[in-house]
Amino acid sequence: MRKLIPLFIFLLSVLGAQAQKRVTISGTITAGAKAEGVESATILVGNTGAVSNRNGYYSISLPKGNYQIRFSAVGLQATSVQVSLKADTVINIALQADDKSLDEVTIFANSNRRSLESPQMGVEKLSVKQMNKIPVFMGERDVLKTIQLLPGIKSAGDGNSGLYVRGGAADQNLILLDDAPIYNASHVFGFFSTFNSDAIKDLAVYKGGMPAQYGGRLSSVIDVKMNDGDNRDFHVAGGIGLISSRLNVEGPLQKGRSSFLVSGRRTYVDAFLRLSGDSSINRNTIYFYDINAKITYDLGKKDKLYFSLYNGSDRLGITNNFIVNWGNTASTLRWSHNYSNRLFANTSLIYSNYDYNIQVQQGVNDVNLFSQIRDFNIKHELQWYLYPDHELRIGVNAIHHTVRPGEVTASDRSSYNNTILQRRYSWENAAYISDNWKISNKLNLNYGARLTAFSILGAGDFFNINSAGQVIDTLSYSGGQVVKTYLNLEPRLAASYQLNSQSSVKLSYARNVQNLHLISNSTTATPTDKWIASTNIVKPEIADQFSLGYYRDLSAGKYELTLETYYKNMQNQIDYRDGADVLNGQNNIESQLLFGKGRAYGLEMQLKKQTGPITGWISYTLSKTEKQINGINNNQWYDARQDRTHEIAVVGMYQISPKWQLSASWTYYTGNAVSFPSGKYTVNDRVYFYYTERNGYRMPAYHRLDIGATKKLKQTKKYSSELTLSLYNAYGRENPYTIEFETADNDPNRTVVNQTTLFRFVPSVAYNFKF
Amino acid sequence: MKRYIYIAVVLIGGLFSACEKEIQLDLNSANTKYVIEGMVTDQPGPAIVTITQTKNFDADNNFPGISGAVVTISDNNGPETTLNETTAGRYESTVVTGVPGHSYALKVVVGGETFTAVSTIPAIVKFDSLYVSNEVLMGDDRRVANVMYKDPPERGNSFHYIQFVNGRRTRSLFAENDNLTNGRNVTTQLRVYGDEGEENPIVTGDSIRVEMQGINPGVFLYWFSLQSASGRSNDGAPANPVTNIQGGALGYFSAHNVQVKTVAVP
Repeated sequence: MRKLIPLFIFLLSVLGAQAQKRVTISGTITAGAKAEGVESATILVGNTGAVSNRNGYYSISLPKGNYQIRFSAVGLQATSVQVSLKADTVINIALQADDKSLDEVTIFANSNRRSLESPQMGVEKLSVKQMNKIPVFMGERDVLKTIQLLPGIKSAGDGNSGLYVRGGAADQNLILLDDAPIYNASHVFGFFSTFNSDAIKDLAVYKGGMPAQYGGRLSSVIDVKMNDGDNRDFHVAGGIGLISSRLNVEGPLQKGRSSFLVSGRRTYVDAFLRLSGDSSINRNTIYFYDINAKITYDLGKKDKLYFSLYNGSDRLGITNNFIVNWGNTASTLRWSHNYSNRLFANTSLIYSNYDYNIQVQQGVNDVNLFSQIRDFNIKHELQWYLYPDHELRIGVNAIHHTVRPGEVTASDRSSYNNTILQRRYSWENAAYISDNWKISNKLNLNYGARLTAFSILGAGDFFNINSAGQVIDTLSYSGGQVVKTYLNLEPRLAASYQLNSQSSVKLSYARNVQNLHLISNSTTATPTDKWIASTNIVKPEIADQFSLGYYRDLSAGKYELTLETYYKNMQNQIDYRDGADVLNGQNNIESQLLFGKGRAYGLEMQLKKQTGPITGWISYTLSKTEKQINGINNNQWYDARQDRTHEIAVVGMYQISPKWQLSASWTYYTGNAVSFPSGKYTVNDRVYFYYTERNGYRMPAYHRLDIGATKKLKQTKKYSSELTLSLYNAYGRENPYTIEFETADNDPNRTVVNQTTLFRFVPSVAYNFKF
Repeated sequence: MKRYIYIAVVLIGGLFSACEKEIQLDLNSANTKYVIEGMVTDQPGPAIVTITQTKNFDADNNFPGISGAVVTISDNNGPETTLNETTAGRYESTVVTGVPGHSYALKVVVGGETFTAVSTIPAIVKFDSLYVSNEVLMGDDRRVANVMYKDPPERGNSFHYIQFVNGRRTRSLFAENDNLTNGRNVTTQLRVYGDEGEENPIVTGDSIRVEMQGINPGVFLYWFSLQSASGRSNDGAPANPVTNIQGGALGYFSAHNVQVKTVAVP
């Protein structure tokens, strides 16, 4: 592979050398008053075009001549420029925010249009500005919940920010915040995500056909970008909501060049708990906070430094019996350098940490349990625009993982031994190359590959385990010794063919490999879900996804129709053995696991209305997700928990007047596949339930309507404020959170089914300001 | 752990509008299966095996015993002793008395099916003391029984406790092993939570009797995994417990030692 890369570059250079009569237009696209670079802005020149990179740079080569160039980006107003091209030219463009002009009521404006010509498919890009129009849960805008309204992306449960993408499990999403992986993106068991929308600029979700620069998870990439601070003026913005308050401060460090941003949010659910007269409630604590900070520093014309920091933490205390703290820290230092107007480089140093700590106090037993996953990560990427029609990306990435599965410390009088489960070390190294090739005006191809080498390192004991899960052999390795290296080549291919100016077809294939696996035995996102790295027994998970899509603009671009279908094949999927004990205090977690395969396929449709006072979309997903694991369900295929046959989302926004905006969203989905009992019996004079098949039943169908209204209170150049009202589950549908089987309270001779519903008619109000 | 999380989730929901109601579900019926509970102890009194069957979910909770089975137990590969059916579905033998260190093999032939199981009585780990302490359970002040013993240096000791309050058996299931406590002076609290349908909290003047069973790891796994058949859907994947009975029956066969202590609640 290493020898191939220079050869590949050489060949492309030769290709490039044959087309020297062209000239290059390049420049930076920035957003509004901020000099913040806009990623994925579209530059359109006749039938050809380009897309800006993450710093907002673009580069396009054209024969000499006169052109009209159109610049557009998600959430921003498009601008056109007339040029007469004679030599290499630099054009920097500042696009204005869409919602500045209130009369032009276009929330998902033309500028937001998906690209018919780009070979990338299965991608959704959203800016926080757009997402802020959609009704929210408990006054908290949440990017991970908003994307659940898109086809192919499913919520992990009522009010939950966890995601299942195209049949994948919740741990198969690579969630990045400014390049740093976030290992547990939820607060309070998933009711909120770790992303404070004040600090977030935009996000892109890749459901399929992931570009080669992403790797490490099977199902999706959720690439979240933090806001840059304003490098011209100081601003303070904030909000007071039902359960939290937020404050955001930003301003210049060097006027016009460098900036900072600090954003914080803290909830005060515990204040509500204290109001309760019930001692079983008011002695508890529940809260979380998030802090985001970003500095962008201009080192000159060609160099820029970006520093991002995130820290967030939850605390839950059930009196003093049980206190758990958990949280993420992520930090990225990125240096971007322009070698020329066609060659850009990004180098990042990244740190990610997730840990939790549980203190349990039961009589004399005080025990502390700590667990952590920590990464040091270095990434280098070159982006090279080659004449005439190639855009090349070449990168390397090395991540060192340290997993501390569990460390128990206990006092002398306690019943527990101090126990340290073996720390696990690994290197996850990758190199990738991809080329975006405009073969013709109609045909685009993006092809590439990612090579991943996952090396498991000592020191530690590794095991051989028989089919019953018993250890038959222990292998000891010393510090730094390589236990095993898994080498995987992940081909990535995407092609688009434009049928006419209104429609195109695309197809893609991607292989993804995952070497970190989340071991979870609960349907609720719990902080104690455990990340483990691949071992000699736990093999890398592998997914191959094929997808095909049809895209059409209707009524002169008023409506967009998207149809995509996919088939995904998954290897080395993991599940628990029956009776598994994950907190067994042993180093051989493999003894509790079973391995098998999975498959997922589906059809996704979306019709989006882009313009007019009413905007929004309707999406529908038809899908199937199954697993086959020897040792489960008599070795037969069974529906995965997240298998939901039908899923519908309807989202509408209505701008009544410049001051008032209404919004509503309705979702419906087939209930999850679950295991319900098919009988009962008695043991120890108590009734227990008899199960015949895994996930053979369905939860009742889920549906819910949320409504929201936003009123602009004041809008001047210096100061603006707004009031947001929303009602979650507006018609009070009793969607089950759990279904339990138990003996009736009033009749020990009868067994009943009880359903618990968490959220009905949850109103919220939030006040937001900015000056 | 899971219990705390569940309570926290309901607590959060409860701030808003959580509600519980009985619903109707159309559950399949399944072919009946035999359910065997077998016990050999080192105490005076008979070895007991009961045989019942599974029922459909909507049937009542009366589980009649299954008569006519041939039930035998052998001690350390010795001759088989046949148990006598004393009441319908209940088979007993006073001949079989457990000895720590001995293995017992159960064989049940019923309705044309044969089920077998082997279980060994572990060496006795002394039940040192039983006392009552005051604890705050989910915000409520409660009395809790504490069991104390010194765990032996070798790994693999497992225990199952049965708690009686004023002679009535409480419904909570208590089973533990020494994975995290090997070799320690262990204090185990028998905590009873309201959400398991327990009736009254323990109060001054009550009498608590605790039966401590030394069990082998296979039986521990049964008690441990029995939780996943308790009917709560937020446990990832409900499943049948891991039984030590071969041949396709539900239930368990436990050969164990027993120590009992009683304490008056101060």
